[in-house]
Amino acid sequence: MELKNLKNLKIIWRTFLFYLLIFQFLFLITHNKIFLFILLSFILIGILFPNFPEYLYQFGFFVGEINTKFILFLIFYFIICPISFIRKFIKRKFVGKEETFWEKIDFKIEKENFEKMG
Amino acid sequence: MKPIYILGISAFYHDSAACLLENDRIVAAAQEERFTRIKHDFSFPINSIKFCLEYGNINVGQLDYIVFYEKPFLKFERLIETHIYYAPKSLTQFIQSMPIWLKERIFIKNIIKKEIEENLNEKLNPKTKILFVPHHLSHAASAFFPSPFEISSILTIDGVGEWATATLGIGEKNKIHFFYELKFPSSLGLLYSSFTYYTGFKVNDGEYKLMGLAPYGNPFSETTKKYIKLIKEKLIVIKGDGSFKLNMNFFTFTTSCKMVNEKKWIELFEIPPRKPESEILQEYADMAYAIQKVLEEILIKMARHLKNLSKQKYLVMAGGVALNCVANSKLLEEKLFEDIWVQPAATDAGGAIGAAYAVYHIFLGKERICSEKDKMEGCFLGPKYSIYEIEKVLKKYPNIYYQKEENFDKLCYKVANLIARKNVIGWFVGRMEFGPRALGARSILADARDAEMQKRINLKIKFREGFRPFAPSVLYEDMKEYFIFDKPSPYMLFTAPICKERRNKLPEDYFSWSIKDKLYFLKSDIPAVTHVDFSARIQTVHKEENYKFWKLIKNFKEVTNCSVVVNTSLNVKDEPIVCTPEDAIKTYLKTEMDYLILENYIVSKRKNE
Amino acid sequence: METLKELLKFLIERRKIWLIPLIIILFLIGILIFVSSVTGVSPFIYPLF
Repeated sequence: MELKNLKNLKIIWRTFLFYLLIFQFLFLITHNKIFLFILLSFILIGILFPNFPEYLYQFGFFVGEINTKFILFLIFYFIICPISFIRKFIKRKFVGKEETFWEKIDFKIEKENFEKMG
Repeated sequence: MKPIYILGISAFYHDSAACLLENDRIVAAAQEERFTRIKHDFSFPINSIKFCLEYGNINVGQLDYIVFYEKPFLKFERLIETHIYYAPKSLTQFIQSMPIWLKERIFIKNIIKKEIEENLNEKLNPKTKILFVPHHLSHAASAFFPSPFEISSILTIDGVGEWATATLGIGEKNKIHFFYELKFPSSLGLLYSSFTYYTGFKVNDGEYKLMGLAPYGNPFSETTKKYIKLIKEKLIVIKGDGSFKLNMNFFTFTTSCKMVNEKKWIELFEIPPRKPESEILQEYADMAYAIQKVLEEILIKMARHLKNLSKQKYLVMAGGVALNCVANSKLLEEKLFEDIWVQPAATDAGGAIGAAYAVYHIFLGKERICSEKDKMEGCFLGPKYSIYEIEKVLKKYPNIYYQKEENFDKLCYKVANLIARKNVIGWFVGRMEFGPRALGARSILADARDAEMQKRINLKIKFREGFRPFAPSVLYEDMKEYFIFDKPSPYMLFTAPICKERRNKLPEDYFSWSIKDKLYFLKSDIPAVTHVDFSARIQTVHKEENYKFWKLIKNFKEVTNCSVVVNTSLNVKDEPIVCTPEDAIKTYLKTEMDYLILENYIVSKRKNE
Repeated sequence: METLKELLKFLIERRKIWLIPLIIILFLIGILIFVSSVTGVSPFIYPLF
């Protein structure tokens, strides 16, 4: 991830403003002073430490990486592994003595095929 | 009639490239690595695309078709099914591959549009269609459509595309028809890459080093015979028609980032995997020899089966395995086919050309006009630089000296004399080559008669393994005086033995010598290009295709009575071949090259010269 | 969404209907990955689970 170019800086500051809006919205809905406190802290820190949004962005990215791997881990063990087990059970093939491993090609090289991604 | 512009793109696996077709003519093609200076760069080839459009003098809005060289959904299906089949072992690969696929690769259509529009600051024409061609059809089209044959058999073999790892087909005029395919994980390319890894070279980069190591193996030793036997009994089942199945208990490329199950391989071969950069023991050379023999056996069986199916007298080949020029020559010797044409950019980079041609001839149904000459333009499809641009760059380097020679023929004569006086010359002339080989546009040239030249260039200029041989470039008309070969080989895709009368007699126990001793034994009167088994990966240089390079070698012949020069790529280890004059100067300054020729300029590090 | 539709159509044509539920889940994860990596809002998204 490159943080140095203008486009990324725009995204970072938009994200920071998004956070501010979320806390402002939460405060207006719940009238809970904690959200006002967080909102004002963010604004103050953002003014005093201009790099803060960048660190917040990096933190968000880091959390995202870890959580992505964790979610994929869950999907792998709760979805992929059961499917694998069921398929292996159903498709138990007794491998005989094949004469060849060549397989006939099932797709046709047709004009319509070119526009599809699969 | 308005010409049709087709932009072919290959990306995201290895060797990204772009190609621009204007009707059936290749206007330009280039690999992304040459611009980004990242070897085997697989990122979206925006620099290559930019170059192709600039060279073709068109803008983005004039493109009629943009075509990607594979089917992303088919590949995704293969990935998911592989993860499911090998679960739970495939966890690591699943977690590593899914984010990139889910974020980017499935949305390739959008990525192509976004990358082109954002980086070139121009909107795509709404009429421009983005198309997708199956991976092996890209390879087949890259082999058949630029070839000089109206009808021929087609054989494509690589690591893996979507599902197919090899295909047998036939091409006729502007159509391609496939007979059979071999499916992943049974892959000749991945089998060879596994041995590349085990012998300490980098996968997708070191395969040709493994090929170069093979002749150092002792074909008569018990170790070599044992290795061949073990490969054919334990690792692979080969049928008479060339089809085969890998024993996946020994391979882990489906479940992890490692190619092989090291524990099982150590038990089998009784030798651990070689650490990169460590000393090459004789056992590894024997292993290289063994896998080369097995690959040749499979290739010949496949070709024989294809011949029975297609009944055609010509063969065209593409896919990474087609770069194994030793195997190509063995296939030629079998005389199954009258002639064989191999796509010079046989790896995925050539897929960009193939995809574009597939659209032109198959999708659009355009007629194909064949001639004796192929359509690759000598493979000189990249950028070239004017004298003005070169001079501008030279002025940035006060520590080098240069002299301009207006008359290029005179320049050739001067350079020929420099080579004859044992100087190593960087040669940067004309359009850059497309594909992995330097063919006389971005080359390092030297005297093939010099016994020390191989060692000197390997260690002091290329900074690479000393055992690696160099390829000769020879005038086509004099080829038979030096090599036992009878067809043009302009792209360095075949090996040929040195003529018997030029060879020195081998001692009786030569094959049991160590690698170092074999390397330094004087094998012929052109020792710098003679490999340990008397073979050479030859390039025939033709006056019509590359006049300047031909003229240089012609002048060298006039000075020395020898029509052969050493030709290796202008780059150092772990860097791509140079692209711009600045790249060439930087490479020149990093090494002990004596002179650098930049078009009409002779560049030296020393003022007096 | 166009891509997802095309992908599902592709799976039906290839007679891999059993893959469809998995692909839809992965696609939704993909949106999550894309959104969180581009905007950095992941500290907000993940606590919602």
